Amino acid sequence: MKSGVRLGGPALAWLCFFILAPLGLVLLISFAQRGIYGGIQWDFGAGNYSRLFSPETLLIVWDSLRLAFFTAVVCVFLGLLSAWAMATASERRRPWLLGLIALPFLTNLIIRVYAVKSVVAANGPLPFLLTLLGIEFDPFALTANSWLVAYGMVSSYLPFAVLPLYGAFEKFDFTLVEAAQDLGAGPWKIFGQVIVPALRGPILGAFLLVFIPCLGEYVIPDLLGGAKSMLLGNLITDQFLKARDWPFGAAVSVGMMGLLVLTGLLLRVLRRTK
Amino acid sequence: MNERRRVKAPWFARAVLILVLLALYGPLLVLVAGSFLESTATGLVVTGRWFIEVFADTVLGGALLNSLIVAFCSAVCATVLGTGAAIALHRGPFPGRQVLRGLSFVSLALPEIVFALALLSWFFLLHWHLSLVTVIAAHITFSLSYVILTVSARLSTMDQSLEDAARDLGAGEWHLLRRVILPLLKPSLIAAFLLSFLLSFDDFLITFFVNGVGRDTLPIKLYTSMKMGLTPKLNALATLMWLGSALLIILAFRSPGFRDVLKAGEDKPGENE
Amino acid sequence: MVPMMLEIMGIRKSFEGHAVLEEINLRVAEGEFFSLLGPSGCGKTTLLRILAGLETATAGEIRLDGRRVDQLSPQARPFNMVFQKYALFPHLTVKENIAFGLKLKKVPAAEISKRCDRVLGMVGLSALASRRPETLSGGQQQRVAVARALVNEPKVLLLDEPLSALDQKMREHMQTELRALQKSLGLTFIYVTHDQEEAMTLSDRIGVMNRGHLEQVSAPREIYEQPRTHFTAQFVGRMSRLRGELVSLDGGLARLRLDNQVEIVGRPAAGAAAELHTGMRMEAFIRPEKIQILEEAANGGGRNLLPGRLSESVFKGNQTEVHVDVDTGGSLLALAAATGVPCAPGGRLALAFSPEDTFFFGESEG
Repeated sequence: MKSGVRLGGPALAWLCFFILAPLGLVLLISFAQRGIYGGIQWDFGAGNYSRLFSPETLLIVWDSLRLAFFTAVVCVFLGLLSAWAMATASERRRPWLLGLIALPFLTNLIIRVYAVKSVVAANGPLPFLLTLLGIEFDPFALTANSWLVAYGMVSSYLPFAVLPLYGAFEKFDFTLVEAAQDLGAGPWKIFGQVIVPALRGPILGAFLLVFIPCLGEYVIPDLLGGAKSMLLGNLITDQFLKARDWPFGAAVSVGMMGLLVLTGLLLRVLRRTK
Repeated sequence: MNERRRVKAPWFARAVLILVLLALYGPLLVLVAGSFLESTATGLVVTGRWFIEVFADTVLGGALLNSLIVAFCSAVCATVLGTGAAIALHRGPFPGRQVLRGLSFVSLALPEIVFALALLSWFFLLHWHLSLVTVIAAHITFSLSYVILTVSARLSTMDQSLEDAARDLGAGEWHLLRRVILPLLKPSLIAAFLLSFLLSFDDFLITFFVNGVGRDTLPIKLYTSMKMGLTPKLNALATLMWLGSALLIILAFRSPGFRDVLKAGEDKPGENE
Repeated sequence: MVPMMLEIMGIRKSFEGHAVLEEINLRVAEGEFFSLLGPSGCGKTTLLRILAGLETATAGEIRLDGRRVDQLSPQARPFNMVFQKYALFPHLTVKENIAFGLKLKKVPAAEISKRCDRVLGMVGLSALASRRPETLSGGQQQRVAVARALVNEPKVLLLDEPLSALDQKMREHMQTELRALQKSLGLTFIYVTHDQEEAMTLSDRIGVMNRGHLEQVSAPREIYEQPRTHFTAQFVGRMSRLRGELVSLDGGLARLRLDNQVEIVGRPAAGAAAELHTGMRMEAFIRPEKIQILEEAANGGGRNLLPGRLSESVFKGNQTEVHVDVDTGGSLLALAAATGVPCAPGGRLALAFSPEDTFFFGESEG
């Protein structure tokens, strides 16, 4: 009891001070007003929240949800297949594959984005290849577009899905696959009717694991999407670092967390019901 | 666990794995190649001059130093705090245990951007001058949960009777900690430290928010330079940073403590709730 | 009467309202090898951990030489424990493991070394002192665990299924060794096991435990030959059993009417004499080796005699198990010498067993 407090107390205090209090503050700010010079004026009201439902904001929310959903689905689908292949690779190869997937996961996001950009940069291999093939393209649109954002998102968040799914496969009873084969199921049938149902929980978990960070992603759309793509991440960042409208930025963040909690609850219900 | 023969995945799964690896590594290879090439009148030639330029750049040197200071300080603090917390959680009930558990989960699940702006507002309210200190505090906070996760994974595989044996042989709380628990945790302490170091060294977004003017870390430097346009010198910088973190990752991976996390951490998403 | 050294008085333990131990009373003499025997979950390990101080009892007292020890912390109790899976510290060498307790007691280094060497010699591991535990075999690790406890010179050594992780051969070998060690040191052992053979072989006395209470505390032979409760009878050794109704009680013997009116004579359970009444349902237990196999027409000679049909005989090497469907209903197991099976399956025969070897217990109390 006493040793628990002594050992855990500092971390508890730290997290209260640097997580709980700041989050509480955000909630508080979201009800305040923007000051004339960009500061915070402590007049409370729900005005910022009603601004969330303006058409421009709703469009941004919709675009962000779409991108996060798309990324999460693609990551889970590709991740599931990759994890399956990894888990059934020879025992000698497995740690290597795991390492290969984990390495980019732990590599700086900026570097990864930079790498993607260097492929499409004016002097990069893709424009070179396109020119060689005689395909016409707009060099500016090539370096910043929504396809690039999608690619960046999927390749950045894939490991988030692969690693937990691989863990699930490690515990998966592969005799089920043998049994299905024995009963005449082909590979796609096995995938759809044995693997997916058996790994339902981890699949939904992996979806959430990708979806959460994607919804608020700032760096990838900012660097790969150019000025055109406005998403929740940019919206929030702009309020805090450029427009200096903290109360509205805080309200958007709270709204976004609400969306995440809602998604989480939805998945929980999905997991329970058959 | 299930070490029986596993039926090979069908061709399309293996094909997807290969595509995924290509998609992950292709751009990185282009990046590395770009840092070694120079286009001259006669075409592309291999050169090391971009790397020399990076090393000669004192601004980058300063940023590297900042990154290292932040990563080291935050990793040390996070490891100490997190280890204490993990042991306390493992031990059993104490006042605040559920809060601690909940907060460490929240900090893992919290979108980075929300955490970043929350800290920014908090520091603003407290009138803390943004500096490396605020960056370090922020990094400690997000590393903490990873440390707790890493150390807890190890603790949960540790034989409970070792603690009983130590107590039976006369160890009090302090000796139990110093002579038995900490030595047994050593591999995971190393792994936790490396992981925290890496997370801190790689962090962009949170640093971007709570960073003081003129005290940029390497990722910030790379980001702001990249906004101006890509240059071979930046390629060289990114390559070096990548190699640096890859080295750390390999180190971390080779430490046995890390395997516990992978084993236990993988269960988490499927099993929470 | 041997002076009792360790007294356990009214120990109770409950976890979250669920009683794990109810009212344990036990006295163990100095130098005794005492075993706690019972199925898993019967509370024997909990009792041992309470003795060690690793758990606190909900109620009750523990006295050592008349002095209360149950309020002392584990480190202050003159008890040491040998754990089920040895619990050797993997980061320490064999010798460092053994020295662990002495170091904590701030024993001078020279003496630590001397005492460690002595116990290492005692368990025959002097050559392995600087090895790490994981490089040792199971039996060697076991000896290190014993040495680590012994070096502290405890008044009582607590052993929690110490041999359960070893294979059969090694286990038998270690049994002999433990017993010899215990005798030569004259040390009190409290030994927890679920293996009845092990308990029989090693112990001076055995306490049979079931569902948190002690069923019977006796010498091994008595446990086997005079089980006092239904549970002890069916848990220790093998038993053939029959069901019936108590018809008369006469001194030490009772008469039980089986389902087809045949009556047998036996001894009612010693523990439950007061609760017996005619007409109650009872079960009769007979040790298979006490049942004699006779030809159908043979005379029992004053013993219980039940005719029946041989249903199956199973060759077991040194003997043959004979399963007989007796005419009264039910199946009895008897043992015959390897060559002594009187007839083929389906053949008729009779089983004879003396009232002395027939025990009656109230039906299904265990």
